[in-house]
Order: sequence, then C-alpha cells, then structure tokens
Amino acid sequence: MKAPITLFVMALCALPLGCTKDAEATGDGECTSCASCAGDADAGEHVASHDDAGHGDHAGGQCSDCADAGVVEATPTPGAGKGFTLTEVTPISKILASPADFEGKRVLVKGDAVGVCAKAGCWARLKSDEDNSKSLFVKVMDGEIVFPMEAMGHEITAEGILQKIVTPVEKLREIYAARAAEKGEEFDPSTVTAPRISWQLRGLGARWEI
Amino acid sequence: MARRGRGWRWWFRTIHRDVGYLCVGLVLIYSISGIAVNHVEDWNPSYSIEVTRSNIGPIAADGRDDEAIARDVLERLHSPTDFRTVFVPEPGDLRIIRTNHTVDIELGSGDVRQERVTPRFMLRGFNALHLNHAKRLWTWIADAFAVALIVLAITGMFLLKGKKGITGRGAWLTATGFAIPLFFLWLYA
Repeated sequence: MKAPITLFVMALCALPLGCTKDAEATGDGECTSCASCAGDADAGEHVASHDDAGHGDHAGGQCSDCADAGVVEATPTPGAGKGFTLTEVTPISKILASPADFEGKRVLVKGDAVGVCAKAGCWARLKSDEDNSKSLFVKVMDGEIVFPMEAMGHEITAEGILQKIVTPVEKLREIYAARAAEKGEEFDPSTVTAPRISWQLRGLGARWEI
Repeated sequence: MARRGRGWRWWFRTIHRDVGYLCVGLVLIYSISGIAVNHVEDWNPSYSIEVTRSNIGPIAADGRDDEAIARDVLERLHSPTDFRTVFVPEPGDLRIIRTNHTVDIELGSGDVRQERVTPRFMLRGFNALHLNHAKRLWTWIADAFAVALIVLAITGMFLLKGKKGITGRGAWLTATGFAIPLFFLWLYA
C-alpha cells in the first residue's frame, strides 16, 4: 500500500519541476519574433507575400511551425500594457513611410484586413490607407487576441508597439527554400545576401466589427 | 455532529454527483474541442477552407484602377461583383476580398486561386469557448469550470472505500495518471 502513495507524493512534488522545465523550453509562449509571421511586413519594399503560407504556418496558437521563432532579432517591448490607451489614429501610410521614426513607439492604427492567420488568428495584415500594395503586419500574442477569418476585408483597429524585425541571411535562405519547395520551384541560396529588415506592430489591443 | 450517513464521504458523493451533472456540457465542449485543436497540424479546427484553382486568361490593366480590374475578374469568374476591398500582395498580383471569399489572381497568366471560408458547425463555437476567445465573463466561467474539475478529481478519489478505493486499486490508477504526464514532461524536457 505504501508504494502507490509514495509514488503519488513523488508525482505531486515533481509537478512543479516538470512545469519549470516546460516553461524554459517554450519561453513565454509568445511568437513576436517569428519571421514567417513577420514575413513581408516590410515597410519600404515589396517582398514576396507570405499570406498563403500564413494559412498554414501556425498551429494550436503556439506558432509551432515557425521554424525561425526565437532566432530573429526584434525590438524589445518590455512591460507593454495591454488594451487601448490611445485615441489618435496614426495612418498606416505614415508609419510605412518612415517606420524607424516609430520604432518602439505605441501607435493606434486602422486598416482593412487583407490577411488573417487561418489557424490561430494570431496575426492580421492591415492595408495602408493610401496604397493598395502596402500593408502593416500586426502580430498579437497567441490566444490573447484572436483575429477571426471572418474579419477579412473588414476594418480592424489595433494598438501596439512598432517592432523592427531582423531576419538573418541563413534563416531567410531556409524560409525561401521551404517556400520554393512548397511550390516545386528551384531556389538559389546565393540570391539572398543580406539580412531582411521588416516591421511589424506587436498588437496589444484590437477590435473589429463583422 | 454529522447524522448517520452524512459523513464527509456522503458530502463528497453529493458534491461529486451534482457538480458532475453541472459539468457534463462543458466537459463535452472542452473535450470535443480538445480533440479538434490537437490535430491542428492536419486540419483547421474552426473553419472549412475550400480552395479552388482555375485560369481566366491574362488580364490587362489598360490603365484601370485595382477596383475596376477586380470587377472584371469577378465577372469572368461568374461571381457577384461586390467586394469589400482589394490588395496587391505582389506587383502583377491582385487579391480581391469578398465576405468569406478571397480571390487571388496573377494578372499576367490569369491563374486564379479562390478560397471560400465556412465556419465549422458547432466546432467553431466550441473552440472559441475552449480557447477563451470570448474573454470577459467567459473567463470567469472557464475558471469556475476548472475549479469544478479539481473538485471532481478530489472528491472522485474518495467515493469508494476498500480495495477498489484510494487505498487500493485507486492509488495505483491515480499514481499512473500522474506518472503518464510526468513521463512525457521528462521525455520532452
């Protein structure tokens, strides 16, 4: 009789240990620096859209398929409060025109959703107010805010902090190689020679009407 | 002093029974959704996404704006020509967004990819509740449900006396129930 009770007590004692290990392994559960999420959040240049890939690049709200999660560098945003604190909307076009001016700053933006994470609702792409070919990528903490697919084409208001995302060359090559493989195309790694700098809004609050 | 038959075990049984009844609906919702989202790698648990591909022939811009081109594309697809917005994901491409219907076209080749999204019956709602998309009051209900499950687990251990209870077979099975997740935590740590 003592054996199962001893095992039971040992199990209870071991639980916190197991949880700690898990937390260390997964970080804070957030995927703010995931480049395949960040994809083409570039402000100034037009790069290959990752929206189609985005329909399958998230799983279970944890970005488990983002191969480069945690590898890219991103503007740190410590202690950012959640929700809405601003009333003045900054046009997306203004942010995209000079993103460096807004790096690390909290902004409120509005735009039509032209892309939404299909699996976890963890990102949305908001179209610029001036240009049909420009958009701002909004990444939210998985599970905190969930953009529904029905929001496509609807106006989303989001508040957050603009982050600069730097994706190293090696990681870019992996991403582009994977995309090319998906399409059955050839990819020449030597065509990627410099890290990619992109911009995304780390969303802390968002609302929409469907 | 408790009356005969109203000792702590009676209370545990009563609580376990009534809380159990109360939780049946939520247990079913959470477990069905749990299975659905467990397999998110293989399917979209909340939406049915139908993708179709076709070719409508090259579309010349002819100085038209994106909206005019979008109407032209939709006409060629024999689709209603109303749309919510248009987007240019890459030069030479156009995305036309209608309600739950997205059309991506490569203007030069006329290759079209259409995506129609339909929320899955029941599952969309189950998942939204399970993953607490609703937030607000539902957070508290979900918390209460979690507490109720803890109550069910604890009271459930002490329902039976004797060798089939927690001092006999129950202890082994309970220990096994703890050992399984601990093993996987150790395995994947």
